[in-house]
Amino acid sequence: MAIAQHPHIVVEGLGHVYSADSQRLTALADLDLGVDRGSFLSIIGPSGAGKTTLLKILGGLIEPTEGTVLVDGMTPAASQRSRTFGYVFQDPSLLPWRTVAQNVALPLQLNRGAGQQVSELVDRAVQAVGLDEFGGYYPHQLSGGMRQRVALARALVMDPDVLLMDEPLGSLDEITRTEMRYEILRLWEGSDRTAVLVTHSIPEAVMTSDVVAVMSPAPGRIVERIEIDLPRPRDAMLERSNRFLRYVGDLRDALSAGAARGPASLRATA
Amino acid sequence: MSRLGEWSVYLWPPALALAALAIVWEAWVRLADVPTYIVPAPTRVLDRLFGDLGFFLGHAATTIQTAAVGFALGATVAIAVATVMAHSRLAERAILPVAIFVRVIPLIVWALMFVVWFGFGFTPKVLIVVLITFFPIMVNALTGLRSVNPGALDFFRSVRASRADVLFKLRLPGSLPYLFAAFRTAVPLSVIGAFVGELFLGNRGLGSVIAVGHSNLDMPTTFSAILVLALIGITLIVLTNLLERRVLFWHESYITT
Repeated sequence: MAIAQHPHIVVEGLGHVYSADSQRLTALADLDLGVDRGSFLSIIGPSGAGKTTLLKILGGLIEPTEGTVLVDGMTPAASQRSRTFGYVFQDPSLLPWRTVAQNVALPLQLNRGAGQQVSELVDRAVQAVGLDEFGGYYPHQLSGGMRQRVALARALVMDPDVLLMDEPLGSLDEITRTEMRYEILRLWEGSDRTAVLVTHSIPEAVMTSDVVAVMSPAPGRIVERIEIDLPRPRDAMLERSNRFLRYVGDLRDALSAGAARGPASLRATA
Repeated sequence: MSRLGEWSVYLWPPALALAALAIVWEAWVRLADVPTYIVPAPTRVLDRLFGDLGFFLGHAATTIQTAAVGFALGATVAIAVATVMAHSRLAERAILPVAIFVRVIPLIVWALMFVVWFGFGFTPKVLIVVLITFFPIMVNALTGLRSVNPGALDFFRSVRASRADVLFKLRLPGSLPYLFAAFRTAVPLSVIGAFVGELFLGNRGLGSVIAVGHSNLDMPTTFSAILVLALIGITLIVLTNLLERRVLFWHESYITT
């Protein structure tokens, strides 16, 4: 496995078993993963492969039953304290009784780390996602794409080291989806953040990522790790290039191979 | 203008129906010569009401005060208890059966007990209102506090929000639609509770006016008090709806596209 010089997130021997009453479900088994500092990693895999579980473990929302996860050499729960994570979910999960600006300000109010510059930080984050004129609007007055922009601003307002995105574009229509893909890319390319994106879309994974990790069906593990060597900043033109299309083909093959092999033990060969 | 037009659509049909009912009633009482001590004519009732308006308004104020204090107390305790139960299944298992036990004992039995324990004053009547409003509010508050958006909860946890923040910034505002659904039944119930209390153990309030009027076969007084009571109930329901519209502007049920 090609873990580079500066791993930001290191996952070793990770396993997770959900147990409710007498039911036990093994979501993840023997999973290794390294994410370089400042890189963009996508996790792709079939439904039920445990992608969301993996992301939640990285963000410290779930305590894994096996293995270790280190973010900056600390456990995720410990690094939550230093405002490490910005989280975006498939459902924007905004508070409907708060305006756009109040929703974006929420993490600052909850974490109490920001001091008096709350409104300044909020303005900047709202501006960054192109919603300057909508600060006083309520979520129900916005389109689905705009709501997801608000969720993105809410994740970025704390200036997190790691941006965790769980299918943030999954519920959007195709046009909005493509537009938002470049929005996320633009916001990330202008920062030194580490980004982890869970997605179902192969073109989305290729377009955004430095590395795409392919997961097997449950119990999930990383069966393939493909480095995407395309120039940055990336734009829509790239989608028509042969190299782009070749990566899309490679990923499609890796996904079906991963599905066929199922939970067999495997180490990635790029 | 358009606002008034909107309102009038809701106002004139019931007004017309009421007027028709009053006219038929008046005609029936006059033509059949029904004695006033059995059914008074509407004009006799209005005569009695407006002839001594201060008397009725004074007693109405007492009833409203009892209902309001009881409702405020009942709602506060209900929400507090629901909050405890929402955080602990053990507390829910302990408290819920007791609440149901209290609930299934008829209100009249409680009223009789309260006379023995607290006499005929303000306290027993307020307690009746507390009892009658507590249950629907507690049940709905519990459901509301539990049905929190899982994504929003994950977000709160991902920024290490305190339990107090999760309660006050997420769970409680999120439970408001459920609370207002409960208020719609509990607000009229609070007036009924105050009234029942006054009927059995009152010396003041519309309930006692009806009790005394009834035993004296003074039907104009009894009907006047009933009319005032109905108007209070209707007004409170309308006010609750207006407040709900204002507070829940963000909720699906009020979003107009």
